[in-house]
Amino acid sequence: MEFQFFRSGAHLLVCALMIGACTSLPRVPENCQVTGEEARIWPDYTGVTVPSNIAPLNFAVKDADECVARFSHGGKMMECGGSGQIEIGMDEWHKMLTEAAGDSIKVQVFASSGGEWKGYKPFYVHVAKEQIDSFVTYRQIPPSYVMYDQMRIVQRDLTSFAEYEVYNNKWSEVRGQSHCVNCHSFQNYRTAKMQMHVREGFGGTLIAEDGKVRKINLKREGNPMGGAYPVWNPKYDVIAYSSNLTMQNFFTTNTAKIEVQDSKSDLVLYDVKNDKVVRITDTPFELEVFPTWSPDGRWLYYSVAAVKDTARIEFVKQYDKIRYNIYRRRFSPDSLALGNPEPVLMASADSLSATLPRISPDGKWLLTGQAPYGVFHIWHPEADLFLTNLATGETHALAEANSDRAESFHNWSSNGRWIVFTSRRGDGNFTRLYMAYIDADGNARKAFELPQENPLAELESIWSYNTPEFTVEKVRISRKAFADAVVGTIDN
Amino acid sequence: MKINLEKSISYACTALIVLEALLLCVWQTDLLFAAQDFTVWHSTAGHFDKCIAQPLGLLLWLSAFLTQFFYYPYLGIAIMLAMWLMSYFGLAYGFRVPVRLRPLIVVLVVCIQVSITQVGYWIYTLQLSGYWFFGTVLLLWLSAFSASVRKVGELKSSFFRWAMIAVVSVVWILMLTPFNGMPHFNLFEGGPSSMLMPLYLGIFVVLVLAFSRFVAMSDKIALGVSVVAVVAALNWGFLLNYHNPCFRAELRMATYVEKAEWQKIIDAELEINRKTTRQMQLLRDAAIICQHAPSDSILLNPNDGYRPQMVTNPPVHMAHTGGDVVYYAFGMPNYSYRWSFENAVEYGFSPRRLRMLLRCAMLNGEWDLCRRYIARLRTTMFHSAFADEMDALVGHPEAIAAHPEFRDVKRWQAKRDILTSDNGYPEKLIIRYLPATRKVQWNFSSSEAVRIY
Repeated sequence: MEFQFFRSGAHLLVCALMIGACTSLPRVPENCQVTGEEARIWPDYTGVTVPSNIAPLNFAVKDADECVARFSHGGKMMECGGSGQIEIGMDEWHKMLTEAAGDSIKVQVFASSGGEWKGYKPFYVHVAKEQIDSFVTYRQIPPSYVMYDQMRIVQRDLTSFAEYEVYNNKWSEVRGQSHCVNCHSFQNYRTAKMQMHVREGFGGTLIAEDGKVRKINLKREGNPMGGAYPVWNPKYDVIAYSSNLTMQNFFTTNTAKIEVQDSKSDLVLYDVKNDKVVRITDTPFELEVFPTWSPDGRWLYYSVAAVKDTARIEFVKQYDKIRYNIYRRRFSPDSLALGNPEPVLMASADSLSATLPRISPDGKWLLTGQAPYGVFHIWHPEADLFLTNLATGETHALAEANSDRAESFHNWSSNGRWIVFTSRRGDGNFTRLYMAYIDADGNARKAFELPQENPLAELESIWSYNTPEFTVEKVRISRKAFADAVVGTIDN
Repeated sequence: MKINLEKSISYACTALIVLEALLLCVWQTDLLFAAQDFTVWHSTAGHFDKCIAQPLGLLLWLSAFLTQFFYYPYLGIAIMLAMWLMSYFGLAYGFRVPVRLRPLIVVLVVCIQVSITQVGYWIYTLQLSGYWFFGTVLLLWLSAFSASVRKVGELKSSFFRWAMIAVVSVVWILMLTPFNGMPHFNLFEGGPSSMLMPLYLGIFVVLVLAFSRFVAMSDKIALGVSVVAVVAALNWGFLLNYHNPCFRAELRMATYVEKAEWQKIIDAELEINRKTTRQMQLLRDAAIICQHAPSDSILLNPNDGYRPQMVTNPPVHMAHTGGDVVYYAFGMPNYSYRWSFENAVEYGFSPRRLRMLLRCAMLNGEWDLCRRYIARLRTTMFHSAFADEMDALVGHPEAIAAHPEFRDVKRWQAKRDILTSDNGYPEKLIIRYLPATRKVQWNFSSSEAVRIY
């Protein structure tokens, strides 16, 4: 009797699975009318250029009950669909992508609403020959102002949807004290050496080298403000930081809502091997911030703004007149000395403020974020990405990558053909990651959003993604190593 | 005689449990409605995954789900009552509690009631979504488990006995997964340990019940102890109802602000026969201004309200309780958005905070942002209708300006842009910009709030 029960149950289970498999892909009627309308999809992948190793570009179709997309290239076709969003098979996608490298994939979308099917005008996804780095690391945090709760540093495999948690401030080992983690930085696209800050509870800076993590305190004699925005020298074991005193004020009507300003900021170097902090600048009337290194590690680039009055009230009054330019200093690795400042990009001459300088791996281009004023441009809807030819000094906006909302925090891929940056083009408040192709002439192609397995879930997500950085390999530092270092004592 | 006494005790215990539920119906509906407004629960797989990724996560998810039913407070209380009654019978059976000690189970119900009613201003900062039903769910789970264990022991078939053991064990483990340590509860941060008294007492009573059949005590003494314990518990439960009328009025006034029921706000403040809180006085002032006819001049009372009083420390700040609502009522959506978001990040994106974020985004014309909050509200149980109503207004500023819930606030929404800060004290910023002791000439025809700024 019991065996008969189980046998019936097994039959039912098998039938259920088969039915489920048959109904996973909606069927488009043969007489479905194809219109000239453009499909309203989210994210907008129409006309984007993607690398030949990127994860599937799943997308949602607005107002669709069911949808189907036909991807075709070179006489081959792949059909995918779902309820309201297109879910593309991983293996099939990579096969088609590899074959389409240097060419384009045609995408035709069909959607049903209220039982009625409609076909849309096809669009193209261009596939570059150049691949993108395998991983991007970013922080996930709700876009708050002062308060925080949970945040994670996550490494995402760009060839799939796999996510690896590098750090989570709610791990059971570290929940004892509320703390913030930020500003991860890797050395030269590799993960053997990295750093990140821990603030408030368990405060300190984590330095990770070859699997071991130690916590140091950058606040020491001669450097009372510690370190903020980091960048690890690509060739030498030296990390440059800006040391900032930051303040926030809020607008009463401007929908940007907040203005973040530095009332004091200087540059420091940290010698990793000798645990030594060297102050580079200590200039109250100059605000140096966002250091970055040249690919050969011999130049330190940074943003700097001049102010006439350091009273905090004056910063608030003159907030829309503070503009940053890009300078650089020659670096001597033996002595850790830095030469005199040399101007690189005087954005203030064009009534712009340039921040977050990033040099392309071939040393040819300078990528900056620019806005009419200020330093923390993710809160400025008018902020855009600009590219400067370091040889000629010519600067142009990356028109195809920019949007009418804030673009900020950007980095180059290791082959210099891709950039990743944060953008609030979706709703002006929540930050997402975008990537764009940069050709040899410094022109950008249309940016595409970081692919997600479930785009519809992203529509109601309360997370922002920030500080993205490419790496060529996975972070191999264990959770235990990070957790032990965080709760442990300061090493120096 | 013995049989009659047994039945009498059962009826009496059942009646007392029902009485506990009635007390909630009579005195706590404001609090319970607010409880669901400050509880995060979504119908999505992502939210479920997030919940079960922590110890006791399944129970917490279930508790948060049940809390949604406090949208209709009597319905939520009815569900809670049903669970209490099932727990009573389950525990009595499972632990084989002697009849004369069964009143101690009523003490457990009182502990749960106190854990709800003593919360007060902590409601704004509780980080445990599902707190409100957690005690009830845990008690029911415990009673089901104990009853299952006893039932298993009584089964004649060894196969079904071991199958039940396996099922019950798996369920037990599932409830506790992932087993990576004890849950980290820091509910009343900065508060005294007496806030956890219901939990400690409840655990003690459960242990007594579990071993009650081994207690060597005469029937008379056992009954006497039970009755004294129940009477003491009921007194404690009644006395520790958080009796702060200002706290309750603030909860109601926040709802009235959303509905633009300005007269109700004024009436709620007038009903209190004692000095009211700063938040209440500011909301009253905002309601007066929103109600006033053009070209009237009004005299605003000085803002001399007091800060909220908790049963226990730490002190509560308006920024956490009603700062977002106050800013919204004064036509300052940016600042309202700021505090709604800060509190949402720290204490949960509950329906109340999501609604306030949505309203601010609508006042500012941030349509794409509106759609995100609408999408999120649609995954709640009782607030998706509101989300649908707002969705119809998105992209139509003229419709928003004419909508009864937005019209008054929109009319005098701040026009002049100033970069400033409230340093965590909304009352100070509003008082600084609002001439509290002078006549305010309000020019409605030009809709300018500029006299203030």
